Amino acid sequence: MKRRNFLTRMLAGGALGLGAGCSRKIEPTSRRTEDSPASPDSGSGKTVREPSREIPVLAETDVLVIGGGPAGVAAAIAAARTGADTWLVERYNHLGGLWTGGLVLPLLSTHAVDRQSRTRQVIFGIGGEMAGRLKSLGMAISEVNPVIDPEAGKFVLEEMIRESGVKMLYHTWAAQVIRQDRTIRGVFVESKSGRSAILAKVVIDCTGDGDILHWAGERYEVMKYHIGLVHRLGNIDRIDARKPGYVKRGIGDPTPIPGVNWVNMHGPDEQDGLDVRNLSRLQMDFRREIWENVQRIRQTPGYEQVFLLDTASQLGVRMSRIVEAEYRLTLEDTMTFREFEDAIGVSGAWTTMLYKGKKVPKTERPCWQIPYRSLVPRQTENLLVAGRCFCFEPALVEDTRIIGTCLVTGHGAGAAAGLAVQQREAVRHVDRSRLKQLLLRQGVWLG
Amino acid sequence: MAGLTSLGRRIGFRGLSAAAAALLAAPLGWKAFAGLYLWLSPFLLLNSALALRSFVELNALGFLVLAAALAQKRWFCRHLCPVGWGCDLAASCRQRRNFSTAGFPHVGRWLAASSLAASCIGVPLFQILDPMALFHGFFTPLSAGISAGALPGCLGLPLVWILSLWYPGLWCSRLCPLGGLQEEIAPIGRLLKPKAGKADPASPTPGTRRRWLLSSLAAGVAAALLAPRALASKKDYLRPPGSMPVDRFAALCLRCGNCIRGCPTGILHHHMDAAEPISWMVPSIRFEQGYCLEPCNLCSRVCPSGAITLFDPAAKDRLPIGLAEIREEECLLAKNRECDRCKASCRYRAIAMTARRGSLLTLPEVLPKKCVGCGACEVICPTRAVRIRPGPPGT
Repeated sequence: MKRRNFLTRMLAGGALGLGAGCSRKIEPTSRRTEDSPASPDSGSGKTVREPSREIPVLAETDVLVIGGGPAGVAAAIAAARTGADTWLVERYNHLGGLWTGGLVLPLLSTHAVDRQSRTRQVIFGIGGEMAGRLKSLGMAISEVNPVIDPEAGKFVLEEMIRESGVKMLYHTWAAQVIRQDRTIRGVFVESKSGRSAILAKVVIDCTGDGDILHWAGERYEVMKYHIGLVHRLGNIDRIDARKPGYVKRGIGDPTPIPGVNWVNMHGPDEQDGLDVRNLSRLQMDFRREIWENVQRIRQTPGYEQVFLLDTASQLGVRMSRIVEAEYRLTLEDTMTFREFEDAIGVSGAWTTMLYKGKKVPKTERPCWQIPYRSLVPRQTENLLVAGRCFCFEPALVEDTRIIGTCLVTGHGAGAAAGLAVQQREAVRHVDRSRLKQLLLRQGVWLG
Repeated sequence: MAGLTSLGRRIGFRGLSAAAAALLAAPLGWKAFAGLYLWLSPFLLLNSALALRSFVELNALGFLVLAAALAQKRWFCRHLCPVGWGCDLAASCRQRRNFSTAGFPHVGRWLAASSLAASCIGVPLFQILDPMALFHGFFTPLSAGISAGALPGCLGLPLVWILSLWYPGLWCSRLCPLGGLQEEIAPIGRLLKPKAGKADPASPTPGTRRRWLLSSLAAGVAAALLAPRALASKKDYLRPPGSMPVDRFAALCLRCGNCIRGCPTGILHHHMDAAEPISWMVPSIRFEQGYCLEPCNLCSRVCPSGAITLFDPAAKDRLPIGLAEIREEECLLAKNRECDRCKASCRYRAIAMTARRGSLLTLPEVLPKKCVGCGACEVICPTRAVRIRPGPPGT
């Protein structure tokens, strides 16, 4: 009896100790509060009314490309090669955008791993032609992700524009779109010659910031990111490491020009690339800091001859708008060799990524197809988007914002625009098989 | 041929159960069910429930088996136990050998009672001897790879089976704490039955039994009172989120390897610190190929001992593994290279890019209040400039 009592008591005691229904699961406290972004300063709040006026039409064309960066140049050449009458509008005095004027000299993501796990070149077509020409001029270092000379880049791109018969407008800023229902009839441009209009059957937004798609009323997200200013140093070959007091200093990376280095600047994070006052402030701060830093370098024993060759003529805005298009390219797509029936090209990778909790080093990253739909905004019938503002998941940003991908999306958009003009169709209805054939004829690798 | 048919007869239901247990323990990708048999063991259930004063939904399985063991003596051993099946198979291979367990003390019952007594004070003493823990420990190297840390864990099962070759029945009837527990509770089962049966002729006399029980309970309590210091690991190491504090972890962990098998990113390994044998074979984290996935709580779901407390994945931001530490001189940004991998990979927004020396130098900075030590930054950093340091204990 005693034993029984003891056992029952022990059991009862145990049950009591446990307590009824005391589950040990850890539950979340509450929804995490998101960091609220600081509200942008909207200026004085005062407005004035602009009187309506008649604007002269500068040109009527088939395809109008806004922005002469890598994407815009590739788009304009591709469109012109389909026989379309093409205009290219550029705000600065050079082609190549951040690649040349921004001194972001490496053409990244030229290579990636294919299905057979072989590293291979992925960027062909007009981008491939550019890289080939620069290489034959001796103005590109290395086969994989070549670093180019900016002036050679500007020259080669301009020669290619000349050869393709694209009509070039430098020193011209696209100021507004001319909307009519779901199409844009053209774009108002602003220059020394005043305001004028260019009417077009298809417009390609290669502004990088997505200015055109913004005015066209498309939906987009805005990404605030690092903004920097690249500069170049000269006389690197005259650094004397044997001098007493010499210390190693950060002097950037080599360019094809002997003795000249380019120095990247990551710059402050979470910067608004669409706020011109912010851009102006950064521009002034960066210039002063670069100057002062180069003076410090020059005061270091051995570095006396080094000088500031130039600062980039374009501020390095890495990201701003990302359009909402028919398809959003995802990290998964780029990691799984996802095949698209409307692929317009293949791009590579230059960063290590995390995918499903595991590390995928850049040397093992798969090459990835870009679908045409990610260049086609949801509403406007005759607008295409190429360059860093096409539609992708922000996790992909490091690989989508770079020169190689811009060249690929530019080429695809230009060819599709040419086809849309030929077929008299809205860009979203461009025949996908004809687009594919056209791109293959134009030397694009589709995977 | 005759041997084959006898083998077939012996397989029976328990053989099927053993096959199922082996399949579930093998690395077949059924990660969430990888350790199902551990949840069936009432010994583990009572140990963890008493030690932690709490239980989770899956413990219902153990309660069912407990109820069954009350209804039929050694129900688990008769119908489910894969270890027992193997022991019997081993014993049948050497039938000529004559060995009687009659004179051998009931170590298993003593282990069970003292372990439960110790559990009441928070130290489940002998739960690592549970046959299900031994069984699963054996399968761990198949999915986690053979390492010095995993090896001791996978030796338990072969040892028990080899023992059965020479001493058939010794493990099951005399040594196994799970069997001992079932014997210990059998009298309660008889109480609950409408007709109380006669005393089991095999069971010791009441007087001996009481002494047995008292001595085992006292030993358990004494050991548990002394053990916390002996069983506590002094050095902190990276443990899964929701893990018990480091001074209790080594005592609570079964070494079954379930979490290591289950981890989808393979960051859990058997801990091996030459200086501290007490924490050998418990799970510890190495961020080499992966990191602790944000929406995952698999390790806590498969942990039968409660060493890793079951948690909701959304609660992970409150369950730090450690704290990221950045060696700035190694950072690519210090060399003007383009990189933002650590910040971009951090889902907890625990890394901020801050400007130093004006705008020319921007470097990542860890925000300790937000960092949970998931390791995404460590694994992605191209220059290995980020390291996760063991942080404050979890729950």
